Amino acid sequence: MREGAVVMVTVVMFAVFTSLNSGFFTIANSKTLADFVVGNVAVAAAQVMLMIVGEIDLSVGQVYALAPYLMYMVYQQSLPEKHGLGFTVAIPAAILAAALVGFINGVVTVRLRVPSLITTLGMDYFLGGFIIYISHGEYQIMPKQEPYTALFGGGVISGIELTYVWTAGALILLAIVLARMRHGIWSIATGSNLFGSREVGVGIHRTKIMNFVLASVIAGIWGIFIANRAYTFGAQGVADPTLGGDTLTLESVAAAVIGGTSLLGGSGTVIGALAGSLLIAVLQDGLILVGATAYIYQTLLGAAIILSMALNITARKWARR
Amino acid sequence: MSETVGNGTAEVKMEGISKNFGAVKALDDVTITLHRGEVLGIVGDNGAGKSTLIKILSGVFQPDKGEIYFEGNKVTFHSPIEARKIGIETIYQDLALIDDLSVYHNIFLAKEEFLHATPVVRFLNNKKMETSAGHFLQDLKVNVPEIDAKARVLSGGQRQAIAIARSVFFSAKVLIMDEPTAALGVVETKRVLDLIEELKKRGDVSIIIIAHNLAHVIAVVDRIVILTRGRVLAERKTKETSVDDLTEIISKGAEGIAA
Repeated sequence: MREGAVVMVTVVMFAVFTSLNSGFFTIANSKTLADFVVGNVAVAAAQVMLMIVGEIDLSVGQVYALAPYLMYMVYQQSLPEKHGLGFTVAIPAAILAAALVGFINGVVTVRLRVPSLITTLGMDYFLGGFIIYISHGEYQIMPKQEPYTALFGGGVISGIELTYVWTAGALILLAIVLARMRHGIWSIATGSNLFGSREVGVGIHRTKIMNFVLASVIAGIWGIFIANRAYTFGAQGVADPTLGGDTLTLESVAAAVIGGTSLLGGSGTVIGALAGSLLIAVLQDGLILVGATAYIYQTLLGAAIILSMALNITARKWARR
Repeated sequence: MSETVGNGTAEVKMEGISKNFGAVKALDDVTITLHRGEVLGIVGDNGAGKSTLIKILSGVFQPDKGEIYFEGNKVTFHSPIEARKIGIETIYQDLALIDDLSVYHNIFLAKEEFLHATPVVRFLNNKKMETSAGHFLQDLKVNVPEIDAKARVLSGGQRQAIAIARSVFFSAKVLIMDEPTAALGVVETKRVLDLIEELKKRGDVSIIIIAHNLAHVIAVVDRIVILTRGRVLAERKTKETSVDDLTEIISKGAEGIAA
């Protein structure tokens, strides 16, 4: 099991940071770590699904930023007090917009045969500019309309943020899809052997497009969750056009790769995405606690990405013997 | 016409097939018959037209002239999918299996079995697929390390055998195997030939084997058609010939046409 190595490295780092700083292994800090993981792990897991089919999505971070902002804008046009709608249409509209982005990414990649690296890099720039254009770069206070606000990131149930519940649910669901549903088997087949899969009748295009849509929709929904998060501790949520962005995109790719997912397609696990995301969180948080600078974090994360990819490829080679 | 092999009914008849690629005559008025339950070998040197002929039968190419009859009915294929739909399957050596999937998922790929729980969200019935794939491979005496092992760990002969078994499992009527033993060692070759032998015993599938190594295929084929430069040079029943005979026919034929 390739994720085993990542889990071990994470445990070792946990031990190191705990010995360096007594504040690391505490309940308060576990919450910090979990908050970080919850922000990106679902997107990382969706990125894994894309990498399994041999594709990548570099625009997830912008969708993560766009969806809450669109939600805010649609809300302003359909105020509940005026039109009786508000989030009733604003949330479906934002999620639909995210799905559309994923669909375009998928169709351009699959039908026009533009490598997804390029398709989604273009989409990343396009959306990045578009968000600044519609928002003038300014954040807006996210309106509150129950039960939507609570359901979409602002709610707490017996001390646990609902977002945690949704995140756990999403990870379990994706793991089930991979192991127990046709889409999972088809995803692995498509990424492992594209032409062989087509030959026996696997819908390779449909499978890829579905995973692009999935990645975008998850990015959009979790963007909304995080935008509403401040409501969980009594502050106001914000639709922030600079939320997510390329940082989130790269974190999702890094978590997937560190978790043993191969860019070559055919393999990858949800557990891996979780382990990768946790490792990034431990690294970032641990270094802050021991007083290291942000540059050290970046440097170490960079090394971790390259190292894990190298291990991954070597492991594949050995498995082939 | 020589007497029939198999049970005598023509499963496939390709009649008067011609195919040109530019100025090159790949096939020139070729007629072959595949009887039901028979194993037919098509041999010949490189460029003899073997591959073109089977690519026409499997729907990859369309002939310039000539007709294909399947179980007595005239058929035309515009794509490999159409050929597969009526039961003509081609075993592709390199493309056959998905390395990252288990043996049983490979066998059931794109023909999965589901649990009946819900009509909208369907869950795979992995257990059922695993069991029936296991039984089926056992029936055909195909040995694999584990039915849930990844295809990556299989040997060349095992992969070939599983690709063949998969087609038969989903009731292919005609199997086309292009050089099924090329690049396989002796033990591995035997594995594949044993499977073909087993299929012959069952008699519900007709097989065409393309090969240039006569020694390998002569053990399992009922009849051999020799192609040279796009034409049928000779046709022999295996019982009435030997590798030496055939080799002589091939070399003489090549000279004859060259002269």
